[in-house]
Amino acid sequence: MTDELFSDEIKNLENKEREIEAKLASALLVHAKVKLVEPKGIPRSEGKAKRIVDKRQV
Amino acid sequence: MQIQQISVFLENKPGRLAHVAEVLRDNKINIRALTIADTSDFGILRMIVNKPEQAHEVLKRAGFTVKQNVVVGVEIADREGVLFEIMHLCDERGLNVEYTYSFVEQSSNKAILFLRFEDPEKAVEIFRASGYTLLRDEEARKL
Repeated sequence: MTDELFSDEIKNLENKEREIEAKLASALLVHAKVKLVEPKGIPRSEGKAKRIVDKRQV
Repeated sequence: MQIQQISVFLENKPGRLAHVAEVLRDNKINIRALTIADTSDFGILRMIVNKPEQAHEVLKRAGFTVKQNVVVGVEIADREGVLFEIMHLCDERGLNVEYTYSFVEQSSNKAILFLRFEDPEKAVEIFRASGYTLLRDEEARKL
């Protein structure tokens, strides 16, 4: 949430979430729930992405 | 006749409000009135403080998303039915209240109702014309 985007009215912020969700859905064709967070609220990537979880019992 | 208000964006998780309070304490800023509007994900803290410009500055420096805007403070008698009188007036004159919160002054039997309007100037005119006393910004800082 940046200063420019911030409105102190709940309805404006919720509209913003819906707007971003709609844009994502039209660009990616999948629906994603958007959650507004404080500045620096999204953790930085910690090294390599972990795409495979090995559940084999060997 | 419009009062400076500080709004802070807070994620809905433990410790965030404590952090705001800590920053205000460290900078000797006193809160006169406050309210929190919350959703499942986030909240908006709105406050009237004695030093709004400084509060804005120090909270921003601490990494918060902060906004300074204005509310109207109406002085009302501390008795039943007064909220209705105010809301009835707003309704009659087509003033849409975005949100409101209040503060009771024990010493004077008065209360202050803070109201946020889309068009605060129009609201100020209407309240004055209807004989209400509006709180001045300097007074709000000293409440």
